[in-house]
Amino acid sequence: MIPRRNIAIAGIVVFGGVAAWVLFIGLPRWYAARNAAVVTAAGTTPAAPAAAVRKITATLYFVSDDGMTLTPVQREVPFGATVVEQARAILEAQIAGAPPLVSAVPIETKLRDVFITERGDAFVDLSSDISAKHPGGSLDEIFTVYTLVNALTVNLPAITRVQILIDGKEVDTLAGHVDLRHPLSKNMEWVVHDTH
Amino acid sequence: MDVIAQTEAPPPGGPPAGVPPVPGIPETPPLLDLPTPGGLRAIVVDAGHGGDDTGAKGAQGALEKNVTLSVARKLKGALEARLGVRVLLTRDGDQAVASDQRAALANNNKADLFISLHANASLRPAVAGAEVFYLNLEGYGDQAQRASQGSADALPVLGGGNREIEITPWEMAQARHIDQSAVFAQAIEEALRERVPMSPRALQKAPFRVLVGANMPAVLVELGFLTNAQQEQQLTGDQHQNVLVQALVEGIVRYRAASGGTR
Repeated sequence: MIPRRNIAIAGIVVFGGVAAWVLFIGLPRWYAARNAAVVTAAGTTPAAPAAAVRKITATLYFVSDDGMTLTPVQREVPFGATVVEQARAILEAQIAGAPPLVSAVPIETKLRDVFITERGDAFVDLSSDISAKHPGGSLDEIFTVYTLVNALTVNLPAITRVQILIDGKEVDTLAGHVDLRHPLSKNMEWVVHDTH
Repeated sequence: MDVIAQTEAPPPGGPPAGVPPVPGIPETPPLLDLPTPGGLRAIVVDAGHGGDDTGAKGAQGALEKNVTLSVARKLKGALEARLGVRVLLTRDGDQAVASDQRAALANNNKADLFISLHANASLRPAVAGAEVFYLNLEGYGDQAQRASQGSADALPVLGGGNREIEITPWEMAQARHIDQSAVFAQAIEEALRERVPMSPRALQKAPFRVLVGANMPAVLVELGFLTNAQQEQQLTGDQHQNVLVQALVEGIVRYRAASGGTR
């Protein structure tokens, strides 16, 4: 009697273990692999499911070698499902920079918020680091402002003008020169035309 | 909204109605309002930055606010001596002055010209040369267009009749002077070019805050790049500052000639 009972218990334990593996490990693995295969077939994401981040190519801006213009540079940035999310992804990539390229936006700057009005004005709320860490000078201030303005208006047609806020408030200037009290339009006068 | 109201015959000795006061800046008593030959009566020289706002900083520690003040003082002396005009400084010490206060000083004193002095900075230390800017109105939208055309309202006055009052929004005072500012900027750029190294982009437009409220031809001059080691040394020295001052005086003389002596 006792051996048959032990065999039954062992059977239940083995069955339970197999069921638990199938339920918690086997099925999720199979489902993830199947899902990744479908997405990859669509050509939108890489095969590794854990690193599956959809990307778009965006134009970011950096200071040219001669220091007199902004140079447009193509970079992959995370895909955003909405215009606001895409704007945020572009701005975060722009602020993060791409060493050894020189960025006119102080790297300490933090993006606090982005919101967009129905008429296409984007309000970009930045931390005060963009002002406090700015080296000054009108040329670099122009570059800082139009790096951000152009990064949004060139990549996102839904955005026609950009106003920079600091710590949630409208400001006169970043460093004493460029008037930031109203939204600014795209300005390509400061951009060299060859794309890297 | 603040406005600059200009009547056809402004009351003598006082600023026009609606002009904001200039806290912290003593208003210079009006001198005899006799035009000098060529029409220039008063010029406002604006030493950029000041106080906690140091502006750009050179590698050897030179501060933009000190360079601009030094050149502004020299320019005041040279203009008064050579042209006999009244020259007002927006600051004559190390204090912060708001952008609107700088323009207000010029507007309240009916200055004929406004010249803002700055020293530049670049993330690339090799960048050097002087630059001259006037206001870029693109981006200010319809408001700038309306302001540039000017508008006069007929207002009834005591004793009967109407008086034409020209209303210009304080925000957009520079809009109606853009063409003359471009001529002024070009005259300054040409005079500088003959004496000091110029940037590859020496004459430009930009939406500069300090220029937009000036109700007269106005330019912003970047005297050189403090982030360039050689220029930092030059900009802090009397010899180069005097050369810059000579160029600025010459530019003003040329502008006066180019504008037909109407200024």
